[in-house]
Amino acid sequence: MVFDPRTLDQPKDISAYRDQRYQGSVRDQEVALRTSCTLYVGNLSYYTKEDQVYELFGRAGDVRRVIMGLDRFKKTPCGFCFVEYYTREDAELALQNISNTRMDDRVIRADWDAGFVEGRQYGRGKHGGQVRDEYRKDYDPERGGYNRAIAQKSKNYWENRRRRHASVLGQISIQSRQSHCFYYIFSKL
Amino acid sequence: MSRRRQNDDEDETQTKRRRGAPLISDVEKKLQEVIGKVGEKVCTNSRTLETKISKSQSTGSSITMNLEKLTEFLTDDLDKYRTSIIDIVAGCAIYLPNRVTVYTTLVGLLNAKNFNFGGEVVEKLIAEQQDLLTKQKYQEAQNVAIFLCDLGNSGVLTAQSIGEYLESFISAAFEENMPQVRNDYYIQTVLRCLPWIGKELTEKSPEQMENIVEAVGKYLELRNKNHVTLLQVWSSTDQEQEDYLESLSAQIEQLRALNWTENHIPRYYKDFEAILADALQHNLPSFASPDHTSDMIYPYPLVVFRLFQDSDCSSFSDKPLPGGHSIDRFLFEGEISWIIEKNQFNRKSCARELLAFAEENPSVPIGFLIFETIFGQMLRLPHAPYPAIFHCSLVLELLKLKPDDYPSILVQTVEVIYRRADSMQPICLDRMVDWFSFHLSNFQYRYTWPDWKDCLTKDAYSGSQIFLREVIEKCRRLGSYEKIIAALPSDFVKIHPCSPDVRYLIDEEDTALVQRAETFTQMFQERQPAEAFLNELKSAEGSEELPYNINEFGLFVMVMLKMASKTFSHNFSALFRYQATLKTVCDASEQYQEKLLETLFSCWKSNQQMLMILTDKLLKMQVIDCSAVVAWLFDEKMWAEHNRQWLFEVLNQALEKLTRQINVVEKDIKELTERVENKGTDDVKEEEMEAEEEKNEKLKQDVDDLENHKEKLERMVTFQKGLFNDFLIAFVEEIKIAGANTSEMDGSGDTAGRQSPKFQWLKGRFCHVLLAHAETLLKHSSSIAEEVFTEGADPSVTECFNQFQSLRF
Repeated sequence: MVFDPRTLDQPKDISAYRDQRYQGSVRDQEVALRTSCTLYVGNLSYYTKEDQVYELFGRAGDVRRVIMGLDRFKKTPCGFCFVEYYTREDAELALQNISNTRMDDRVIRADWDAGFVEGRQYGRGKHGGQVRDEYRKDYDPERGGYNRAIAQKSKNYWENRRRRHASVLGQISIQSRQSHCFYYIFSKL
Repeated sequence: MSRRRQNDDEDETQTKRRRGAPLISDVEKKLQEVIGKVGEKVCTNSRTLETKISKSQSTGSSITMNLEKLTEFLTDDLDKYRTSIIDIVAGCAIYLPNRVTVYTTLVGLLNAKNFNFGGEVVEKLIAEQQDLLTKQKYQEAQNVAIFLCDLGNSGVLTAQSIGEYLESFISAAFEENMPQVRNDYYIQTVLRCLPWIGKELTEKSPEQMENIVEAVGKYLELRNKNHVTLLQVWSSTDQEQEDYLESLSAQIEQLRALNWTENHIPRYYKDFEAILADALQHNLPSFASPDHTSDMIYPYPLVVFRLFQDSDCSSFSDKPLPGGHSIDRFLFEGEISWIIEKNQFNRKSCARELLAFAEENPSVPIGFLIFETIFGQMLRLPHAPYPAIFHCSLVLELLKLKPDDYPSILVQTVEVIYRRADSMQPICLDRMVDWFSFHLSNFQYRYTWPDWKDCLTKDAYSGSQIFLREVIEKCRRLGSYEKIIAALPSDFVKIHPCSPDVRYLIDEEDTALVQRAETFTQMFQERQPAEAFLNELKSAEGSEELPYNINEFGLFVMVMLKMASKTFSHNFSALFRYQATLKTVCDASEQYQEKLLETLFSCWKSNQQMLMILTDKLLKMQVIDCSAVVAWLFDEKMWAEHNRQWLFEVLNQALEKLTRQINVVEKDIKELTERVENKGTDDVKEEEMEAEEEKNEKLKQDVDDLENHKEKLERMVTFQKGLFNDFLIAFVEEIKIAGANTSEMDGSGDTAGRQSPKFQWLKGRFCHVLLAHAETLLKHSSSIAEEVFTEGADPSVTECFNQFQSLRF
């Protein structure tokens, strides 16, 4: 066997991410990841539909099924999906060529998945969506705006503030309270 | 318990295997890296080589220095790691053709120090070349030939023996009763080698050079060129699309006239002339062509693909584009293809290396040539060399790395494609639609759409309008209906896609029908089992032939599709839940299959993606069979859809699947045959524990299996043949009618008959089907010629088929 120098540039190895809730031994997981025909696809917009995923990932080969990730409580899409192919080669092709391109104007990311198991379609975050949406700091309108934690915090903040103001304002005349309210609203815009 | 036991056993074998596997030593790994990367501009292994190349040095000299150091480094280890080094160098010769001169120089330098080494490398390469040819890896085998020839420049081989080597290729091409594609390959190999070694040969062995050139000329004269029209991307262009071999030969002739002065092969051995001149040279043995067998598939003939002329790029750069017929254009194209070939699994490194190549050649607008080569590959007939999605993402990657220059080149490319769309073959137009829609989906569907307004007034079968319409359709699927409509100018209404919703058409006044539909709806809601529906569909006056009420079956399907219309997942689960109903009914008669497909079409007429995916699913579930799909698509009722892409996608997918199934059976047969034949030798290796009886049992099982598989294969092949014949007959008939039609009523506009865009388009689609299934159809071509192309067939379609047949000759 002669040496194929092209392999120098292609780390055939899989990424370092491991699903922490994988049911099975570490070795099973490694084997599954190296033989599976399933991809995890992340950073989707909440508004991306299943048929778009079929269309895009169908470009790399025959798709067996697509499983949309759902919010555990609301049962609405929460920004990820699994794409299962019939062959490993097709999945590899998709990983090489579709990962890091755009869908609905978002750079989507794909990685190997050990295979879909019922229950995995649900978000694992406290709020029902994906965990990463709880750490995100930016405002992302296609993934529900600010992350849930910030959203919750700011909601609490405004509520407290309203309450505090209400108690203070209780001592002020109605007329001035109205003007104060206007001031209060406009100053925050 | 048994399970755990099994696991343990597995563990053991795994560890055993791991222990037993020949581990690559660290030294070897280092060698691989050092040798494999020596041709790269910035040497990543500078630490190992102890060379810190300062950036100020030019590329040429840095590689020269790399080579010097590497030679020094390897000379010490040459005896100890000889086989490994030879294997690695051979690998680089086969797989890194874009670095050929780097490695021939290296072999030359090592040969100068150690005479035997050069001989052993040559020996190894010759063995590898034979092996590659028997494995039908023609491209790689050609790389080896170029490498061997270039060894003549680095003082390893004598010019005389290289001349003989090339002559033996020529005589292989002149063997009698061989397919032309095989001979073409040998001639092409000789021509591809000449830019490297031509000068040396002319100087040192002029007689042989004369012989070679003369023989090639003679060969080309006798050659059949029927295939050229079929393989041309456009039926008419301002740039010629000549036969590749002929064009290449003309280039070489011209190059010879210029005494082989080209200006881009980086000849690193020139820097070491003194050392190399003193080396002892070997003789290259002649080439022996492997025996030809009927199952060998040689590379298809090629036509030259040119997208740009100098005028196209003059507004972007002041550097002149090498002329369409100059050898430089050919060599650049070849080199770009090599870089793509090497990086076909990694779009990022591919784009990076292409750009590095562009930087190495600042005097030429390489960007244009990169795009030309990529699109040439995408549009190559019959098949593109790489999966379409790779080319798509490669283009994106290039734009990402060069956001200032490359987008404008791409715009230029798209313009050329659109401008020539009317004469583009449908199979190529489809590929462009797929690429461009993917591309736009990465750029928010923004394009200067109004520029393409002119095609709206053209014929519905004109290439440019079809291109635009299908691009919009595919964009809709990748994004959404609303998004693409918003991106289009308002006067594009004429070709807006329909809103992709389910169509549920029931005659409200037919109360009986409405009531039945309600019954079905309720049954679905109650989640009644599949059998309940079967009973419900049983017809009272049911004959043996049609035991179920066919109209009610249609209604059942319609209600089901309506209720499952929300997503693909809903559809799939409905199909699986009622698979038994569908399959039992459809197995009863073909008419039910027909009804099923008709109903599917009427419900999802405006959502082609749904049609495609559901048809595919039904085929996979074996509810319907391939022949029903083909009959449905080519029924007269569907003719109106024949200017749409989806129909041919469904068709080709269905036919492709059948071929793939046949291939699987063929592969099984091959394996079984091998197992049965090798039984004797296998026994020795097998564990002694196994009883003799058991072995015999196994053998018997294999023999039986083989028999069954062979029967199955025969059945499938007969079915496939029949299917293709029936379908081609239907298609030829349709084209004939389109050609004979002189009325303007069918939308063919002012031009009637064979000049009409409709006729041309259908004829192109016919070629599309031939090319898409070339391997299968070429196998059955004689029976097709007999059964399909009877006297009645349209002569221009028969002509296409004749051109197609010559792809194999």
